[in-house]
Amino acid sequence: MNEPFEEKVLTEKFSKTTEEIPDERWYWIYFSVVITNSILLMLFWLFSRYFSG
Amino acid sequence: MKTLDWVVVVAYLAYVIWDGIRLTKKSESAEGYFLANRSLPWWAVGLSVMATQLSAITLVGTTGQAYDDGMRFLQFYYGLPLAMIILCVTVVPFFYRAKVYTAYEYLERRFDAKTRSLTSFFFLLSRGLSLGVVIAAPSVVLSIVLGWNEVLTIFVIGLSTTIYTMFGGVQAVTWTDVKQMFVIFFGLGVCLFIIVSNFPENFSVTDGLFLAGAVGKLETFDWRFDLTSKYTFWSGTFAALFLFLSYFGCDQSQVQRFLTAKSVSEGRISLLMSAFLKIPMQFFILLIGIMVFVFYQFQTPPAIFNSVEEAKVAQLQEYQGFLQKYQIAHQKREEAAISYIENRSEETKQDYIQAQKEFTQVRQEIIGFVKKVTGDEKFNDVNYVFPRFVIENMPNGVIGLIIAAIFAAAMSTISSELNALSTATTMDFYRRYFAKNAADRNYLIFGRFATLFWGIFACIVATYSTRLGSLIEVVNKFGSYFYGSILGVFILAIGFKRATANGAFFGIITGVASVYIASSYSSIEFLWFNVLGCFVTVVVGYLISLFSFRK
Repeated sequence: MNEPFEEKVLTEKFSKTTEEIPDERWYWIYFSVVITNSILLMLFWLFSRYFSG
Repeated sequence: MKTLDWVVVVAYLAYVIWDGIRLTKKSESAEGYFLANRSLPWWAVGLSVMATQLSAITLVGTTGQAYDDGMRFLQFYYGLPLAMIILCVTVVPFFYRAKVYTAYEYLERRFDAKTRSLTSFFFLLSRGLSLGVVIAAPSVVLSIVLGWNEVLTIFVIGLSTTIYTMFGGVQAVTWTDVKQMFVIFFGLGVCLFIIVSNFPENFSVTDGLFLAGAVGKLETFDWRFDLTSKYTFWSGTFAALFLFLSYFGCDQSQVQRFLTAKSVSEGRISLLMSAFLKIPMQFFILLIGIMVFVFYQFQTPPAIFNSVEEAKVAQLQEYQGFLQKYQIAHQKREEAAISYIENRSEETKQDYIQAQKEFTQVRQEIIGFVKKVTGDEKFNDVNYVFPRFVIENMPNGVIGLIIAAIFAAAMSTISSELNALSTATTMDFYRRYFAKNAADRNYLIFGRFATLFWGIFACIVATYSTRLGSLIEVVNKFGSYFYGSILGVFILAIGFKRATANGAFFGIITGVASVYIASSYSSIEFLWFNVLGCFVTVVVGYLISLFSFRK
């Protein structure tokens, strides 16, 4: 119970699924989430500045 | 409500229940009932994730909050996209490949049975209680609209959802969630269109936004770092990040959504749908509350939106005096609003801000008076703003549509949570302790009864939760007692190789205790409890692990 956690054991035990998107494409997807939301927040800030006169 | 409204509401209810029950035949095994045989497409799972989070509380409470407090609440969601990315990188592939039914099942593989059971128990407790609040919100609406007994309303809405969830399992939950999302946004779209069409002649949406902006209702950033302030940029980005990590990554009601996806990639994309759409969606809902505020610049809003409480004081002479004062304050505000729109100068703006201040002050006096007369110190009519507005200002048919949308929002959340509660009860307790190697059908039947049990339990909790202030905050407060600590134990499990079972077990107990102490003896806002609970669980859990590991 007190032994260090062996991630390898679990990883080998669990089956991997097919039809996965490759890792390098995920980095771009995550990056696009960050960029889109940053632009969105900036637009909200401009929106409130503009209408509060 | 007229006949046409009734037809819309009854048709919606009948369709949803029928649609849910007809999926029973796809749920004839435990894996089909609890995980849809891991066969669902990303867009259906993604919509289900969003529908589960978008409860009737979001519609009723958030629009009311926007009317009362403006768009500051939007900040609450700023940490969500980042949380989704972190979860896609970490827990989604981990849980999916582990082939677990519940997130807590993994904790037994990593630690031991007692850690799994304790974490699952905390989930059942917090989710069971918050489900009561989720059922209470639309019941509040119906008790006003139909004059029904509130308790009866709670049982009608709670049990009708329980029926189709009980038979159709997660298949019914997901596919009804998809349809319910369309009902919700169609209803809200029509509502927004009608509000704007009812603005006075020569008054545009832009004019309305200038009015709301002048009195600070459009503020979406509060940069103050104040632990006692509810919604600031920091609490929304940092403290709420912990809440979302826990809610979407460790809470069975959300974990179960992506476990039903076809593959890890589809599970990830389903979560990223929220990362892209949640903030604009919440902005849209808050905007409806803002438009209600603008609408009431030119028509006297009810002094008290809760018509039941209003009736208790309506005949009192003192209240009549308040109403006259209220009417005068409204007229003054209307005139100031018109002047500001006709001539947008600093002077007219300051006049309008002053008139709005005076108007708000009179309303606060009236609320104080109602509190004094009724003896209800927690009286708060934020949740009644939107339903009262709909009933008094929307045309026939549209009232029914919006009531159906509120029903849809409630049912989509209730069904997912019931299904998750049932899964955790069946897999983490029944199968683990009482029927380890029973026939598949055994778990299926138990799961159905567990759904029924939790449906009744939540209805009973709902009857007590309608008096607890703004409902959306009550739900989040319930969660915040446990969310941080549950997240902490998963961080220990996945991130710390030396973490042991005893460390995790005592870490989570200390985490929950620290949140309880903080909430009792400090004025820290509830979102920060997530950070505290997580931090204490990880630190205490890791230290105990190091000590017990050496031993």
